Amino acid sequence: MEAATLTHSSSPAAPLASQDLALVERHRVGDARAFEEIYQRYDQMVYALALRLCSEPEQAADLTQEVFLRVFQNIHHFRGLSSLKTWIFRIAINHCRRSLGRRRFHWLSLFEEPSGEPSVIGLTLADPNRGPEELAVASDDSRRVTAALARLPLHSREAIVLRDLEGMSYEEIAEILSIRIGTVRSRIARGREQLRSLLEVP
Amino acid sequence: MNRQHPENLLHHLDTEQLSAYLDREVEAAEERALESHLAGCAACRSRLESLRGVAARVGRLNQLAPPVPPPWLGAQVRHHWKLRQQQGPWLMRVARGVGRDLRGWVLGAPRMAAAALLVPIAFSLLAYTPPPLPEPPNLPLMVDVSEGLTAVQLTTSRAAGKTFVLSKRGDVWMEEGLPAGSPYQRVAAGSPAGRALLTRYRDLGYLLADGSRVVLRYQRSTLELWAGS
Repeated sequence: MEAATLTHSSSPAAPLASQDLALVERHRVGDARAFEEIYQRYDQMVYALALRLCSEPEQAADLTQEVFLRVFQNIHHFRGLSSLKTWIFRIAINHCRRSLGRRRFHWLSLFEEPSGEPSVIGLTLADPNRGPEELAVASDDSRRVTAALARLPLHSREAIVLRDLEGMSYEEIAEILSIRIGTVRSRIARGREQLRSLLEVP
Repeated sequence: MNRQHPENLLHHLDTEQLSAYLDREVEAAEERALESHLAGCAACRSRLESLRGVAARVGRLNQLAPPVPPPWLGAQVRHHWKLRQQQGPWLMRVARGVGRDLRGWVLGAPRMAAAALLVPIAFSLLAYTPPPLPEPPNLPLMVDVSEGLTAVQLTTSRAAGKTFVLSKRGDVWMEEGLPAGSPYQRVAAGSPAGRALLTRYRDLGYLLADGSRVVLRYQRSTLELWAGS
């Protein structure tokens, strides 16, 4: 179980960690608002990560639910040696890896388009001020990038998602993926190179 | 990997150096050296811009369409968490306590610990009490008529390889065995998701034909299919 190893993480994050610890302690003593706070603080983040790793909204929702059940089940292992966000991300990444590894084939998703390319159905547009043409072009590009991302090996995809979508530092990524910073650097570089080749194809 | 001095313009920078430079994840000395090379090498500048473009396109995914978890997901997580808590938290506590003790034994005496690993498993098997069954759907088994109570047959139908039971008001076909009141996601028959489901299970359309709704489990989610777009 990953939670046992997480307690040995050694990144200092003092003020944030004390807030996280207080939140976790409130949950431990049965404060229902702490449950809500933890869920609402991180649900979007976990869902976005799962969606970018598996490309299917329905599967991402299932993974998000399973991740949170795992988080609440193991939250007593959290010691504040890393931030709660990093701790939850590690659980999410480990769970997604296991699940995606198990599901080598999948049934036709409700949200999958006949072409087999991942769909952006179910996502909401962030900028209502964009014109329809601009949105159509942007949406087409979004679909292409999502499809290219889905074709990367999982370890490169994880690193790219954490860096370019979550904006994490190499150090944070190394901690979440339990790898050296040099490995993070090479995975991101290799992933970008592969994405570049995939996106160059017209 | 290209590890020579970057000022040597005969050797181009490798992708790893460019990518780390792009992310400002290089030491100050390396950064200066890379910038010195880039100032005099158009090919590397071009590759850097190309990588920058790729990173920006990935980054725009969340700006254009930030992934938003479905609104029913929070309720579903709460529901399952409550169920899990009700299903024997004492057993979990005992197992955790035994687990903590075992860790100490494993460190001290591997052979004994290997044998002792079987203890919580055996304990769980002996002490395990099955979780309470989910509440049956709130369906009428009896109706009140003027002459007195009379047993009535439930109206059932088969579709999509499942058995559906018609609700008391006759407007919902609910998959047999689904717990009442579990949160579900509404899917219109005319939506892409609804069309995909009806393409796979055409016979669900018969249940929708009179305007009824259909509640079923599909791919680990509970859906309410309704005739609309």
